[in-house]
Amino acid sequence: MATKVIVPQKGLSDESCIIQEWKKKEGDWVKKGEVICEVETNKAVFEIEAPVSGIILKILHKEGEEVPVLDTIAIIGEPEEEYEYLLRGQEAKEETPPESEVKRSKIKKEIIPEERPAEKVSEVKISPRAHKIALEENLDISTIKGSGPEGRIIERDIKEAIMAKETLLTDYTKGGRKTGLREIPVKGIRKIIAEKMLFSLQNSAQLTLHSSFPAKKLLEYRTQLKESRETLSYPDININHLIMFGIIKALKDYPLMNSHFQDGNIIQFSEIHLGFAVDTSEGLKVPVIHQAEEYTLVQFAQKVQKLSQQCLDRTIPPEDLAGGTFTVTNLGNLGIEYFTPILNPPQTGILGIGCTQLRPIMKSYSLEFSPFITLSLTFDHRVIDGAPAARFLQQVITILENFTYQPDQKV
Amino acid sequence: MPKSLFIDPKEVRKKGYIHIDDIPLNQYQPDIKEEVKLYGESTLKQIYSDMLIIREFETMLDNIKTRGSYQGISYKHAGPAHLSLGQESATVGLCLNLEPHDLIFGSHRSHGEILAKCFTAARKIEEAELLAIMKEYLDGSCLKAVEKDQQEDLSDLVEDFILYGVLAEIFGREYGFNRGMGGSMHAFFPPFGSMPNNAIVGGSADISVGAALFKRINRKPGIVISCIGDGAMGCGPVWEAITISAMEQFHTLWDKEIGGAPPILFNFFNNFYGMGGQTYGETMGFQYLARVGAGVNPENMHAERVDGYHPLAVAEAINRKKKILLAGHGPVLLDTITYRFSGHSPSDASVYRTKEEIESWQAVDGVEGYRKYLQEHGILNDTECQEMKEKIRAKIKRITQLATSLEISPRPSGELFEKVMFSNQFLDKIEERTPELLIAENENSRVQSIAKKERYYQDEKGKEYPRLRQFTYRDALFEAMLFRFSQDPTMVAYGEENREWGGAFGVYRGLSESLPYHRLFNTSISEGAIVGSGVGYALSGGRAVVELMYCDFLGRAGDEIFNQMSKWQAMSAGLLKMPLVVRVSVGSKYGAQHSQDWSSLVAHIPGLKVMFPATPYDAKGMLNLALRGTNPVIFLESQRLYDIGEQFIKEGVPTGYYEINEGEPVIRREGEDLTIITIGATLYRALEAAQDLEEKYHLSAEVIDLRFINPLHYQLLIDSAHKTGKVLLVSDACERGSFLHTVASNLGQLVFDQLDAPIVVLGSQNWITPSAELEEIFFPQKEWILDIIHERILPLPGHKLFSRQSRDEIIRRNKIGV
Repeated sequence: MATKVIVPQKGLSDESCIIQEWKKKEGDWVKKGEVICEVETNKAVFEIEAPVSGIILKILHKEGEEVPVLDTIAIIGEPEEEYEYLLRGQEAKEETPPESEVKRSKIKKEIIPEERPAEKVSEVKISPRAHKIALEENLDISTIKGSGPEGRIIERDIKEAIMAKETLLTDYTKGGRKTGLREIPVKGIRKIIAEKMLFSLQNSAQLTLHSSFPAKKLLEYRTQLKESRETLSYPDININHLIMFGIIKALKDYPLMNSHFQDGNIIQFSEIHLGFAVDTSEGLKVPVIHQAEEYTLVQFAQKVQKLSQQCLDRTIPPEDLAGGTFTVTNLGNLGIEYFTPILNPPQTGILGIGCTQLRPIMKSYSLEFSPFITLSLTFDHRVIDGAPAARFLQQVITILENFTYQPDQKV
Repeated sequence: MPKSLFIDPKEVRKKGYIHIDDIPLNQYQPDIKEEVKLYGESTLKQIYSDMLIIREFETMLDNIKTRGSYQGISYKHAGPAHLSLGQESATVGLCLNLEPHDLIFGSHRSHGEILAKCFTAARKIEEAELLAIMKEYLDGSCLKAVEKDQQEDLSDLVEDFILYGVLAEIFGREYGFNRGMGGSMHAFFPPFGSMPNNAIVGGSADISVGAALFKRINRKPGIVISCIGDGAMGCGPVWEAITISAMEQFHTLWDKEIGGAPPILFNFFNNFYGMGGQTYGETMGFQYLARVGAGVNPENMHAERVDGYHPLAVAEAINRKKKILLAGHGPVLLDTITYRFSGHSPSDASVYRTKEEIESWQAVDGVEGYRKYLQEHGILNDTECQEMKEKIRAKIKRITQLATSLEISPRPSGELFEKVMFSNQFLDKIEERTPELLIAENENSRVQSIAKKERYYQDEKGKEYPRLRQFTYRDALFEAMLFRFSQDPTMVAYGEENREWGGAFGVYRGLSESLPYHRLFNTSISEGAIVGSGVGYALSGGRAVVELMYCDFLGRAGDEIFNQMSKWQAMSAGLLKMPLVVRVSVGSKYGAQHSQDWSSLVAHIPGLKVMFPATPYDAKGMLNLALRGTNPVIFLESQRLYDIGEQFIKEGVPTGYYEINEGEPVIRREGEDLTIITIGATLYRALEAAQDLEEKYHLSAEVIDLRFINPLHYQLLIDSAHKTGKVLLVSDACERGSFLHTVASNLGQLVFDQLDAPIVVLGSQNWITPSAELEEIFFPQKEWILDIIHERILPLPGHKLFSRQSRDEIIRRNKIGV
């Protein structure tokens, strides 16, 4: 009997995924459990396995297509088996939603009339000719000022917009420099990152505070842990783990920083779900340690290492990429002193860790060089004002300056 | 105007009296011996039979119309039926002595005339020819419908053929004499000399004059009779027709060999009523219609009143008048009295007259009176009468059955209408004979002077030649005219100042050297009859070019253009051709009644071809096209352009013959950013505007000269609009109702997705045309073109407005109606 291959719902919030790669094609034999394709959600790439053994009778979505979760993407069955009947239900579902659904959508429309995008478009006066070119060139007409009668957008406005766009993009085709190029289509994780970062910058009031803390004691503590590691069979606890652990404490003290800004509401979390940035060959990934305050220092370090490895191995479960309430990112090992991390919305804070620097300090009439680690805190001014954010950063510094947690201790 | 005719103040200022000869009234003296000698007994009986047929035919229609049935045949006839019950004796008498080549044109009340004319004509045609006519007419479909299975008497077959052809036409059937395209008021049958009947009162008068001119000028046999009613005596075009027919030049200036005046007889069937008005004693003042003849010429138009209630009185009068006409001494006016028993139409309850009046006329009924006359003299007996009546009733019953049956007599299709709106033939000459010319072409002084002119306006270095050395628009028209005159022997041209003057704008200057009077002449100031006689001349088989000095005079020829020249090709189902070109000059500088571009009026009328050249090259090529065709053409010219040289065709206007492709607009300046479409002289203002657009605003405008209004090919316009996305249309016609709005609307539908702005029309103000000094506030100016582009299509950076062209102006102007 022919069987549908459906897209499983992995994370709770995923509504759809993008088919990244088909490992099999129509007509191929597959064994039950064999990977037939790779799909990608907002958070992760995962593999879809054949639910049964058989021949792939039909592939319903091409690579790059977006597919709602629980939708059928392929049919597996016996050679030349009838499978059309399996699809009919799906089409019918799409074409004629049940009556109750229709009613519901009608009501929804009445409640939120301003949400109809079509109306917004029609407010823009544009000639049919200009509109046609705008569609072809994928231009956002709401950003174009019309120079025609009554402010109508006309062909020349569109042409100017195209020219402006080309100039801004430092069009490499200008001046005949067309060789030695490689065009890389933006897709997969790159595309998700691109959209998310732009969204973050366009939709929040973020700014960054820089500071640093004297790290001599923390570095010494880390050396101490490293030395005693073999005898006490600790995992490798590095400076990053220690700083992140300290941040958990600071977030407990400043719950306003452990929050989301969503739909005009500030949502504070009593638990701390700490995300941290991992650089992988596919791009940036941010795994999350849920309820981080429940971990001892050792457990915490182990969890960080495990999640990092899963990211690199591309085996991280989607649920471990979701639900962060604050994020830590580290460019210190690449020699960066300060930077301006971008918020991971709807989170309202992200702390960047810079490199360790030796700085001269006055100590009883003599200069002494002492290590400092730099910190860059980006926060959303809609949620937190400058002073409380600075106080939070001070608290982080105080904790790290006087780091006292034992390996088996929780914060 | 002719120099040969001297107006001597001594003569014209002399004292004296006009002596008017007596106008005879009902002078016929019946004399049965003479009548039998003249016609023979059988013809006298035939006259009675013909009258009976007409009476039965009209009775049948009356029954169908008012009761929905006749002799048990039920039928609903939705169309008109203007019956001539009571007028049979006048009709049959009129046609008795006519030959097949004598033509009668009639009115809306002409069923009897068609039947009588066709019956008498058929009896004078040889059997073989008669059969051939019936077999060929409409591919024999009319004959086929009426033929019986068994062999029948030919005279019966012909009668059946005629009765069926007329009735099927009245009922709008495809096998009717005009394929059902004409109907009751317009039916006719040219092979037997029954010519178009006209539903416009008096409409036949000037058309008949044209037919008579055709006979005279082309030396064709026979006379032409215009049968109109006494009511038509109140119509201007009828007086105009009489005026033209009575022009003295036929005797004073035309070659004697031509034969004098056109053989036209204005026969007024005087039934004393015109609609609900009584011409006798109420709506007219002549008392005796025949009196009118005294006002026209010293011969009183040979006018007399004839008693139409005696067929032989009418026949005798026609015999006498025919001799006068053939001798070239026309026109003739007959006041043929008669009476209609029925109303104007079945909807007329005759409330304006008494029962006693109707009964007193029925008591002297022409049909019954004639029967008694024959019986009194032993020429007819009761049995014969009874047999005749029975036979006729059976005949009419059969014809009614055939004509009402949808199976035997189907209705015409819409496709047929499309086919017959235009004849679309091209004829170098309509008849094969040598055209009459007075001198060889190169002897003509105008031809010689044109030979010295420059046919492109600039020299090789780009310097413009002096105006007088340039070959102009008017020269181009002259060349086209002279060429066709030299090819087509039937071609004539006339108007109010066409001969010595050469037209008010000098287009024909020099033509009189080449053409005898009868091919190029002046007429009375009678725009209606000028065009109307052109219609008659053309549908009779000749080519006519008539002139309206100003477009503004088009109203004077309204009926002739809107109802006659445009309609007869289709109303005849393609039997008639209309090789008539009306040259119309569009004025300027002459104020409210001499400066209007009415191209939109003629564009609205189905059946006309409308052309408006704007360059010398097109003037010649388009007039050549119009003059070889067989369709009615309104040929618009602009007084702003007569002096202009050729600025577009670098090789110059060819000396030889060429034609412009019909309906094709032309690009005068190529461009990418904006399309400006013009009609007529606005082309040159649009070109100046295009120059400004390029120099001041770096915009390249494409300028298209429409040059044709109907037919019109849209492809070039579509392509240009696709390219530029912006279209402005400009002409000198007033903006409201301008034909340009039709083009704009069509084009908008054809290229909507490509448009970058609404399609905009710029015309003259909806005012009266002001005096010459103020024209720049009335006609579209170069500056207005830039203004309207700026306001409605493409704002021009830094542009300073000269005129008000905003969208609000549309609302404001319309609100106050200007």
